[in-house]
Amino acid sequence: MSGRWGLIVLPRTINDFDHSLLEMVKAHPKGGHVGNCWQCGNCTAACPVAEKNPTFNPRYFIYAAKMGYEQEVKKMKESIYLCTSCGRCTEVCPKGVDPSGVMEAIGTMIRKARS
Amino acid sequence: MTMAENLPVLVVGGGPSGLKAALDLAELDTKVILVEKRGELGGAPIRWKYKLLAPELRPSEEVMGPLLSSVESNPLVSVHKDSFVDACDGPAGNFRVVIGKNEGGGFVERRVSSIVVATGFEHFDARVDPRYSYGRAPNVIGINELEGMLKEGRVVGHDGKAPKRVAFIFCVGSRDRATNPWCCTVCCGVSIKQAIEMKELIKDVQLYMIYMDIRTMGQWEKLYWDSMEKYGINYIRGRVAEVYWTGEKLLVKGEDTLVRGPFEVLFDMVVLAVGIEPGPGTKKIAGTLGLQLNENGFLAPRHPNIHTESTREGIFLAGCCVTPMSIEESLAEGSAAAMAATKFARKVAPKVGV
Repeated sequence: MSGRWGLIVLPRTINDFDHSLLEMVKAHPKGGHVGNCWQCGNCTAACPVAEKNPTFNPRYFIYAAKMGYEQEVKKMKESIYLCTSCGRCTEVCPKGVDPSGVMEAIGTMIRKARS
Repeated sequence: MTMAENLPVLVVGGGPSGLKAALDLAELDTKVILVEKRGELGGAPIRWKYKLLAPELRPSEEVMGPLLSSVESNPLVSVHKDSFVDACDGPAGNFRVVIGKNEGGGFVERRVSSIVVATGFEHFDARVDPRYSYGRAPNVIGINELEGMLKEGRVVGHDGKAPKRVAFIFCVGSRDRATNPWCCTVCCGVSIKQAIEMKELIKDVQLYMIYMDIRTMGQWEKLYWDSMEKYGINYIRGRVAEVYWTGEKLLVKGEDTLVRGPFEVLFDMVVLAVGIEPGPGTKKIAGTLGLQLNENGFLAPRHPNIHTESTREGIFLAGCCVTPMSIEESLAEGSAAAMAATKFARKVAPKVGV
């Protein structure tokens, strides 16, 4: 996976874009600026959790949620809650996305969908 | 009076930079002969019916309207439409030029002190790169064609229906060894501007910009930010391998490099951000005037960082025939060329003594 170094990508093809998760994240109090993300990767570069755990990648979570890549969103369930909300990503984000807040919003939406 | 300062200046090309050069020269009381190969003045903005200009989305008429009316009404500018420069000889400061009329319309001979070449550009012909199915599949159009549709306020597919999902493919015929290796510099900004206009026109349209890099230079960057932040336009980083017409929709195959996965997604319309390349007129004028072309087919200035000066004395360059550029830059280059021609006429006037 791009940005998930050392992991093997299984064959898969993206057949559709689905922005329903994006709309839910946007409606969350902390996810309103998710649309600003331009995938620069400042958040992941600054993230202390990503440094230790290659499956945790804030940039990637935001992108998969925005485009509604179902398989990728499913994979996130295991790791998105590892965010410590330290706020380093929010501090370095050039577009004011608040990645830590967006991850909180994505986590909430995934949890809601499960229950 | 027959000094070089009183001879007219020949301007080749009636687009933004040619018009600006002609107008500035006329306002400095210099006679101008303006030669345009097409039947109308205005160049690309008029030919392709530009609606709004990047980056502030101002109507193109605000720029082109006064320019066109001033040139056409100025008694010092003699406009030759449907015409071309057939021959040029004599010394700089007192060139003899032969102007031909298209389709055997005869020739006229004129004396000019200097020449401003502003032959502009052509859009890349996307049929050359078959993976985009341009010219074969319906609903695959170029950004140049979309401009006219936006101007009419009616963006529809071949069936007359407004598209629900549209892909813009960036860098078509640009930054590619197989076609043109240079960046056309404006197509990112123009495509994003058009996407914003399309979103305003068709409220429920979903827009996907498939790019390899977004190059909205300088303050055009605002367009890029606004398109994401205010208009919710989606960006997919990757290249397209194939556009295939299923009979109902366009299947776009490519790779999303941000998730390292191939995509095969259906679209109603595909807009190709076709690049800028030198047209046949530029090649022809280089032959007629003895100017050098660079390895990309653009007119080579004497010094790569000083566009105005051509490789020949008394001949000046302006606009997209030198390198791809925006309208604002073309206008500035037109003015610069007018200034260079004026300076030159004053410098050689006492020496030529015609």
